[in-house]
Order: sequence, then C-alpha cells, then structure tokens
Amino acid sequence: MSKLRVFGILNHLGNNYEQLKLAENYDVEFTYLQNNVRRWGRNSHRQQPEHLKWASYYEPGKYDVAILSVDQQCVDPQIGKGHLYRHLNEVIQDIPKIVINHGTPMWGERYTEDIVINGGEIIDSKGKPRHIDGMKQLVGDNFMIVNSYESVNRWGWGYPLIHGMTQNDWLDLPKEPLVVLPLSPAGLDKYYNRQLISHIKEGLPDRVGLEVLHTNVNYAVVDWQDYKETIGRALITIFPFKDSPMPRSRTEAMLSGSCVLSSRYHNADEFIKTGKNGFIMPDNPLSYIETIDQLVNHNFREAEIIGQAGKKTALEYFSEERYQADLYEILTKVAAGERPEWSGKKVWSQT
Amino acid sequence: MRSVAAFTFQQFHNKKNIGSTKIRINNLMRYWNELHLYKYGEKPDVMIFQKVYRSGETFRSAAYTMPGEMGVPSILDICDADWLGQGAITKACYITETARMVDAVVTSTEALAEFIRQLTDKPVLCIPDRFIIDDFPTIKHHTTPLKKAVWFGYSHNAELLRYAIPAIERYKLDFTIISNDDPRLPFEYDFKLWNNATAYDIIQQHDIAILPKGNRPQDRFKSNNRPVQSILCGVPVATTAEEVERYETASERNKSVLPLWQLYRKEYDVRKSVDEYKDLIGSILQNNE
Repeated sequence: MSKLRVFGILNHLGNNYEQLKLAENYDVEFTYLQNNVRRWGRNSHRQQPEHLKWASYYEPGKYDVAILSVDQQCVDPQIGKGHLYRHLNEVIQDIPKIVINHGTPMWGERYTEDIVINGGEIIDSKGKPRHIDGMKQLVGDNFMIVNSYESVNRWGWGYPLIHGMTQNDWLDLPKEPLVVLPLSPAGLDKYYNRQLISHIKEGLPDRVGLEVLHTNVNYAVVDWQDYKETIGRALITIFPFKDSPMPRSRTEAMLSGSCVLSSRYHNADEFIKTGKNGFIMPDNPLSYIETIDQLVNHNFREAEIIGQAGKKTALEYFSEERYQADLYEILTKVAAGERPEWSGKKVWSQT
Repeated sequence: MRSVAAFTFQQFHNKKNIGSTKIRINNLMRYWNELHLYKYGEKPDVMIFQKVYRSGETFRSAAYTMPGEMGVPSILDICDADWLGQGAITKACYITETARMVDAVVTSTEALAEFIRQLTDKPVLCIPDRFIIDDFPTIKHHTTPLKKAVWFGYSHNAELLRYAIPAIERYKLDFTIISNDDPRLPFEYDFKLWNNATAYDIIQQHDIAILPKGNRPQDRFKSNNRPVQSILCGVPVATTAEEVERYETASERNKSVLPLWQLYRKEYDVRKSVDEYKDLIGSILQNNE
C-alpha cells in the first residue's frame, strides 16, 4: 500500500504527539492546518516532530483521510472551540473523516445529556429559543472515535481507541512525599469534579500537612521536562475526575511509577486494583485525605511498591506499540471506505 | 469572480458584535457577493486579515504567521494603532513584519496610512470607515431648544467625556451614553447598551452628540466614524463647549447638519469602499500575473 496521507489539526497536544509518532513506524504522512486557535510553539509541552508538515489550506485530492476533533462543548454553535471542526467538516468533502470525540455527553453546567447527544431547542439566559445541534448531527456520517469503552455506551455509538504512550518519555525518579493533581485550571467543573477536588485540597494540609501540587494552579509548570520531573517525583497523584474518559495524565503518572488514587469511572476499576497497583477511590474527600495520610506517613515504601505495580500495568495495557497498531488499522480501514466495528474486547481483557 | 475571504478580528478573538469588524468587513459584505467570512481550511483567491497580525512566540502562546503565508494574495486591513500600549509588550502585533509580508495594507485613516508607509514599500491605501446608508433613519428635523445630548462608542474611550462634564452641567443637558459597558463617569446620565438594531434611533432622539476629540497617543489614528454616524442620523456633533453653545437653537442645528448630511450620504456610502477594495485587489492580481 502506498503512503497514507492524513490531514489533521492540532487539538489536544498530548494526543496529537502520540498520534504523530505513527509516522515513525508506519508509512503515514501527517499534514496539519495552520490556524490561530491551536498552535504548536517552541514552549509547548510536547516537542513538535520534524516530519509533521503544515498547510495553510486544505487541498482536495492531496490526502486519503482526515482526523478532526470535537468534545461535548462543540455542540453549542456559540462556543468558539467548535469552529475549527465545523469549518473543516464543511470544507473537506472528498475524503473520509475521522472525528475523535475527546469528551462525554456530560455538560451539566449547561445542558442535559440528551440535548448534548440529540440536540434540540433550548431557552437561553435571555429567554430566547436557541437550537443546539447535538453530537449526532455534528458528527453525521463521519467515523467517530472515543477515548474509553464507557464513552461508547454514553454516546450510544463510537469506536473506542485506548491511548498508549512511549515508556521512555516518562521519568521514574526517587519519590518525594508529594501529592500531585495534574489537571488544567481550564475546563468543565462537574466533569472534572472540581468540588471534590476543592475539598481534598482544603482538607489535606490540616490533616497531613501537605499541599496538593495542582499543576498550573499553585505551581506553574515551566516545560515538559518540568512536568515529567514533577510527576516522576510524586509519591502520589490523584485523579478524582467524574467523567474524563481515560485521562492521559493518569497513565503518565503510572508510567512514572507514581501511586495513583483514581475515581472508578470509565472502567478504571477494571485495571486498577486497590492496594495492588493503585487505589480506586469513592467520591469522598475524607477517603482521599485518609488514604494519602496512611500512604505518606505510615506506608511510604508500600506506596512506592504499588506505584511500581501501576507502572507495570501501564506498560502492559497502554503501550505505544498497541496504540499505534490500533490507530493504523482504523486509519487504513476508514481511508478505504470501511467502517470498522469494535469487537467488544478491552485492552486489559485481551492479555 | 474572485472569492475574497476576510479573517476578522471578531473571528480571531472569538468575540461577538465587534464594531470594527462590522464597519470594516460586514458592511462591505452587504454589497460585495464575493466577500465572505473565512472558513478554516478554505483556499480563497484573496484573503483580507482584518486587525489580524503576525505575532510572536511567548510563554503562553505560539507565534501566529498566517498573514503573508496563506499562499494567496493577502491584504491587511487596520483601523487602530494596535502596536501601541499592551501591543508593544505582548508580541501580539508585529506590524512591520505583517505589513511587509502581505501584498497591501488598507487603513481607515490617512494618519494610519502615513505611519504604515514608513514600514513598507507595499501599497498602503486609506479606505475610510463607511456605512450602509439605508440603515439610517430619515434625517431628524430639529424643533426644540437644546436639551438632550448623547455620547456613543466603546466604554474605554468614554474617559474623554470627562472634559465635557462642565459644559454638560452648565447647559443642564439630559445626557445619554450608548456603549458596550457603563463607563461609570461622575455625572448624571442615562446608560443604554449599544445594540446595532436600535442605536441609530436612540441617537436620533437627541439634539446633539458630544464627541470630544482626544489627545491620547492613539487618538490621532482614530477614524471619524462616530461623527459620521451622528450626522447621518441628522444629529450635529459638538467637540468643544463652544460648539455646544452654537447648537442651542433648533434652526442652527438644522442649518448646519443638512449640507453635511447630504455630503456624507454620498461620501460615506459603503459601496464606495467596495469599489475601492475591488480596484486594489484588481491591481494586486494584475501585478502578480
């Protein structure tokens, strides 16, 4: 088969970084659209691969398949983050399009899940009726990838592509009595369960004497190296998120040998076993605080051992090789006009 | 027909109801079928970057270099001196690099054009802010003594009204401010939120517009679009206390505004801007052949 030519756009830096590595092992060429919304700079927290090409516009006939991105906020036409997808979906008409849906239907601050999925009329804050497209209309006939198995159920359709990453990118450093929350200050509240996060952050100093290092909130991460060192030295990283489908940062922490405390959602409880390779936590701040206290002050060495077991789990299920093989299969099939169907098997039930 | 795409300040910053985008681009679209808002991924024949500049790399964001690198003839359209103030330190406006990379620069004032001509040998043309004449109500006929005055514009420019407060209080004027935000000035006034659909009707309910000229560094580059809009409503403009006094009688207001109104309806018809833009694009394309 000749080189697969993929047209895409920068969206989620970590996701794109791993996606682009496909070109190092498979006969694939990526071209991204230059734009003002998503730009790859020299200070970005991932290094831009040299093989990536950039285009100032889409040229029909030059590509085999396109990869675009959305999340639940794109269903509202008044939210700017959907413009890139909407425009490109209109401009690109000659090749199959894959849409990576990074979110879930949860946007509790604004709409019901039914509206997010199916669309409909809503009354806005000024009492005026307004149409919300809904993800079904937005994605249309495009092939939709989701980031977790649970997301397939939540949306009602979609092909799950579970992330994978390069082990050597992550640093397993001597662990310090450090609790890290790798979560951007931007983004949805209920989705990330920021209320629970606030309670954990408020309660931990009183009980344990430790502050949660919340990346880019109380500690400004300088660059990717700094980020890797921060989670690489953290005895504990916490992921109390309500609905983030397979957070990449959790896998990054596991590959760094950090002991992860995670909510159970999106099948986390199927590959993280409490006390063995991490901890599945209830949505209760006192549980987080008590567990952190126990691990830091009374079971430090055990936490390190659990972190190493988590690393082994991440290496097994979230490898670059498995991810690239899955991605390449999807790309070639969709480019050929096929619509692959998920077998129902999960990466942790295949090995 | 050539397709002309405009990537606007409003789109670039994902904002709504931006006055400069309405005046510089949206008004022209009414009479220019080939002009449309840029869609990501498209390849137009000609690209207009409206207040969208090449920018530098910062800790927070990567450089933006599309103006001049679209691969199609490109024009920079500006109506503000965005390199002043914060623009000088945020790297958000590399005006020299942008002016040299595009094929031509269009400005809203001659002062802007003169400045830009220092930076580049590319064509620099002033196309003033112009309007859709049919959007204005019929000319106001003044019948009552001076009582009601109005100021309109972006709230960050309302500070210039401070110099007019003594005159406003001396003449006991009922004052209205129409803006995007209440500027919270220390005198009594009625605040109305700017709304494109109603603004001209509200302006016309007043006897004069008080639009003091500023002495800030950026003011010499500002266009006359607010006085023009006021005259097109049939409302004379006072920039000084002496001019307020001059417009005390209805007959003086009618007498002074009518010839300007007649002139401006021709001079500030946006169809003239469309023609000037088309001529410019024609010459760029001819030179590129």
